Amino acid sequence: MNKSIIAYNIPELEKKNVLSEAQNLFKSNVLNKEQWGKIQVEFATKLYTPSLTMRVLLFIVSLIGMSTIMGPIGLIVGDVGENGHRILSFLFGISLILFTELKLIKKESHYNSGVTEAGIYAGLSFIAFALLGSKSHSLLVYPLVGFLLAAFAAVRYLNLTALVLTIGFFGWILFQVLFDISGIAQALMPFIFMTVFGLIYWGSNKVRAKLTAEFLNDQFIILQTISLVLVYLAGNYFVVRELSVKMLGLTLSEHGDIPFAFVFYGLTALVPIAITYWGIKHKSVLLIRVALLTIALSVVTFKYYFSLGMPVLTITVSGAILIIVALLFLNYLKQPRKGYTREKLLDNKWSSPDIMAVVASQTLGGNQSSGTGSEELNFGGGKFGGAGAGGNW
Amino acid sequence: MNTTNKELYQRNLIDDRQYQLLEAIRTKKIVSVYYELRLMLYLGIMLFTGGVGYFAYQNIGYMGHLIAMFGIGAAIIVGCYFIRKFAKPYSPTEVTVSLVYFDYILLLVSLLIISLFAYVQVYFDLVELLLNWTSFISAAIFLFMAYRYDNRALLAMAITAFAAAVGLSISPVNWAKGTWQLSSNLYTTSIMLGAILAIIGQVSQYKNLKKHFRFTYQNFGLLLYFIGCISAMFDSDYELSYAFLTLVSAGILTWYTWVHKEFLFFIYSNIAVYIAFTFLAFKAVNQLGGDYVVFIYYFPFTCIAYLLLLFTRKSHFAHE
Repeated sequence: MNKSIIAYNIPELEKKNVLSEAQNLFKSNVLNKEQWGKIQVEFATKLYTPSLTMRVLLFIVSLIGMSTIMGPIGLIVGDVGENGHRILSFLFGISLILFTELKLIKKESHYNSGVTEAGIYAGLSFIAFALLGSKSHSLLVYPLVGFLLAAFAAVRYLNLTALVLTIGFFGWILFQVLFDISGIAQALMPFIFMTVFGLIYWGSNKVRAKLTAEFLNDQFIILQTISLVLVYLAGNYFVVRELSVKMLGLTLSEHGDIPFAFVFYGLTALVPIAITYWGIKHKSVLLIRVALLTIALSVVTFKYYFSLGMPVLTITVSGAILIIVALLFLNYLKQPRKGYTREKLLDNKWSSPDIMAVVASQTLGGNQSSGTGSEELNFGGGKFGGAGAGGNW
Repeated sequence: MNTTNKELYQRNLIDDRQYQLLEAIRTKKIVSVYYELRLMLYLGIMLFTGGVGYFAYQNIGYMGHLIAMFGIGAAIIVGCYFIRKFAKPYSPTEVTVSLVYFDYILLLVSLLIISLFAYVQVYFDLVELLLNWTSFISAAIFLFMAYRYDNRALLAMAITAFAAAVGLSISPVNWAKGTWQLSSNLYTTSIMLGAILAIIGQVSQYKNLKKHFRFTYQNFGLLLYFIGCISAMFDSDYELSYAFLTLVSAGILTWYTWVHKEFLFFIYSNIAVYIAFTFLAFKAVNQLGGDYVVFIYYFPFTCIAYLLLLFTRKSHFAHE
């Protein structure tokens, strides 16, 4: 790997990775205190990362500080016209990036310190604003610029949010290109998306197997999860139907259906089953998690079009089914079977009883103010527990 | 290819047994579905109890209600049997139960008790009579279960139910949407309840009574306190007094949480201090008939100055 592509020092990143893995092992009671102490000494890194909550504070403060500094600069230079502002914004964006890289990352060894993220986001936003300020170009320019800037941050600064944006912009570009070609390309759009993101998943699996850099694990998890979810969504009946109507201008009569509807019904049902099968066969937790998500989405999709008109009953029954299935599995896996166990082997970095308590209080009721209508009883907070899912990676 | 496990093993930092375990995990010889199954169980409980709770308010006829009530009652009895079978005796310290899904049975039973209670109310036409007491009773049930069986999720639900009973909604979800301002004069209630919760948390710590509940108490307590203070600042007739109250109390908390490295609460206090300080600065500029243009300088310079100040002590909050 060309080492100069990444702004950080690779050996330091590797040490950091060992440290954070070992810390998790220590918290999971696999390592004892003495071992953890030794590892801390042997793998001491000069990369500076504050504790998680402080990163949030530093991020907020630096983002406000960096993005409002254009105010005083604007006051000092006075009125320079629209193009002047764009040039100013571009220069300021570049200097923010340079400051982040040279001063914070290279000199002070900041690594995901909150300030670095703020510097990168603010800098790239100013550059994007400068480049996209006028409205005279084609729609393809927006995702292209976004893609290039996000990919730069994702690769050079290993930024995970930027990685998500990169994939998003890539999808947008693909969509825009197919949309502009029109005709058969539009009709084949779902299949092209499925193929492209399927290939990305497959390719990243191959690359990951060969690559020794364990510090890129999070990047692969994100890339693969999003690719798989997009493969599913591209064939999901609801998505195809709604996008055909809203974006591609398809008009449906009252009893009409999209062309080849049966194909998409089939995909909505079969893709989750296929992912579940592969997940269990290859013992991939990532695939199993995506499978659970896609199964839920498919159930919602089918209920949306074939509703029995009894949503409360549906919710209650599906809840009961989930509880029963989970309990059956928990009992089945009392002893490890076929390499699966119900016991916790290692702690999840993000799980904590304190966070769980907040999530429960927001989603499980007990939260409604007295005197509110019965309508809202027990439905406070999101219905499908996005919170619960988010905490699991 | 040198993995982390191998490297640790070769450097003699982990022993044989640990290496075997870690390799088994890495090569997927053994895979844990602990979190996945618990997530399923959690979602199931959320949907099921949500649906059941809603049923009580739908008119599904005389028999339907009776059957539903018996069904819920039966489920509660079965759940209680499990809880009694696996629960450990009460202890003021943290209790761990061997059953991996014990917490969830506990949640389910508690929520079903609340649902049954809602049913009884509707069925015997007690809704109006008990309207103001429903949330108190829910809070009491949650609180009892939380302390008896040592469960933080139930404690959090007890606190939110209690807050709801006095008319406050503790919902970060709503606050994130920007609807954090309290209506009418609820800010006094919010400030009082917040302060009391924060103090209960502190007392739990000193008296060694469920020490690990402290975070939950103080997290909600401080949120209620600061939201109350800030709402009062913008809303009440005594805006300056409230602004000074916020500034001073949040200032003290900033110092305290910094020393004790409780960084989440440090952030809350910081934000409150900054809002109060900015509010007072606006008032001062207004009083002096000054030019609001200073605020174009105010935001970048205060933020950058604060950052520089923080980084003079950066080892204090380095990741451990």
